[in-house]
Amino acid sequence: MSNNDVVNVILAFITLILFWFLGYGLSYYIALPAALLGLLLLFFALVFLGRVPKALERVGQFCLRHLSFFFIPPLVAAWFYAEQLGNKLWLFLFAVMLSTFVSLCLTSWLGQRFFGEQNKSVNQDDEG
Amino acid sequence: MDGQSILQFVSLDQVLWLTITLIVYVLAVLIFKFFAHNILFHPIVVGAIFIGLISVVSHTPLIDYQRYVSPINWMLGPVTVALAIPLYRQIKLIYAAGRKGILVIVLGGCVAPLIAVAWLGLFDFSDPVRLSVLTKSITTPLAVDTTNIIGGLPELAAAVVVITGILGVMFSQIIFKLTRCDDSRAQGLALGTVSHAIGTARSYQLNAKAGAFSTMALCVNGILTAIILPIVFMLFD
Repeated sequence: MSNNDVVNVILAFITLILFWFLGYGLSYYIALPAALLGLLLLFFALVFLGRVPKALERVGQFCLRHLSFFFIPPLVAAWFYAEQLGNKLWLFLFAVMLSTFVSLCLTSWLGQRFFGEQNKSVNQDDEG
Repeated sequence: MDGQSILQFVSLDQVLWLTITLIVYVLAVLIFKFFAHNILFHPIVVGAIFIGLISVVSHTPLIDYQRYVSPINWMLGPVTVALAIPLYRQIKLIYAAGRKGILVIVLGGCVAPLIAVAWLGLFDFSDPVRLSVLTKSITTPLAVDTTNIIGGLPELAAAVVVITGILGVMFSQIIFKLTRCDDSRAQGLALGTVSHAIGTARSYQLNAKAGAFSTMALCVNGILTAIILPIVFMLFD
C-alpha cells in the first residue's frame, strides 16, 4: 500500500462520515433514520458519479464485512430485557421464530414460482 | 486545557473495554472460521457470550460496559452509510428481478413483522416490547435507528434482528426442501429479505448469484421498512 493509497483510504472514511453527518442534518427536517438518509444521499452521489471510487469500494467492503463487531454491545445489552421479560421470554422468542419460519416459507415458495420455472425453460448455463 | 483533563475525558476503562471488545471480536471470527461458518457460532453470539463472561469475572456491571463502549455505537452510523455501495452495485439486479422480485421482497418484509406483532398482541406485553419486533427482518443498523424513531427498545430490536438472522439461516435448509426452492435467485431473495446480512453471508456460501440477489433484497427491504415504518407511525400518532 503506497502513501497515496493510505491518503485515499482515509479520504474514503471521511466521505462516509461526511455523508452520515449530511444525513444527520437532514434528519431534523425528515423524520427518518440519519444513517438511512446518509445512505440514500451517498447512493444518489454514486449514481451521479456513475462509478464507485476504488478506495471507497475497499473501505465499504471492509466496514460491511466487519459489521458484526458493532452488534456485540447491543446483544450484551439485550440481556437486561431478557431478564425483564422473565417467564414471558419464551412467548417472545416464539413470536420471532414463528414469523421467521412463515415468512421464509412464503418468500422462497413465491420466489421459486416466479424464477424457478423461467430458469428451467430458458437459461441453464448462467450459473455462478 | 492541560494534559490531565484530556486524560480524564478518555478514561482508561474506556480504552481497556474497547480493546477487549476488539480482541473478543477477532477471537469470535476465528472460532466461526474454525467451525466452518456453522451458524450457531456466529461471531455476534460468541462475542456477546465472551463479553458477558468477562464482565462477570471482572465484576464490571453491564451498564458500565455499555457506557465504556459507546464510541462503537456512534461509529455505526458511517458504517451503515457504506450500504449505499452494494445497493449501487446491485441496481441492475433490481431491474432484472423486476416487479415480481420486488413483490417477493415487499410481501416477505410485511408478513414477518405482522405475524410477530400479532402473536405478541395475544399476550400481555408492553408497547415498547411489541414495537421492537417490527424491524426484525432488516439489517441491524437501520433497525436500531428505526426502532428509536417509532418508540421501541433499540437493544431488544438488535437482539431480535440477530436471532431472526440466525434462525432464518438454520430454517432455510429445511424450508428450501419443503417449498422445493432450488433456484439460486429465489433462495438469495428469500434469505436476504428475511435474514438480512446474516442470510446474505449464507447466500454467498451457496453461490455468487444467490449472494448478489440476497444483497439486493437486504438493501431493498431495509430501506423500504426504514422509510415506511416511521411514516406509518407519524400518521397514526
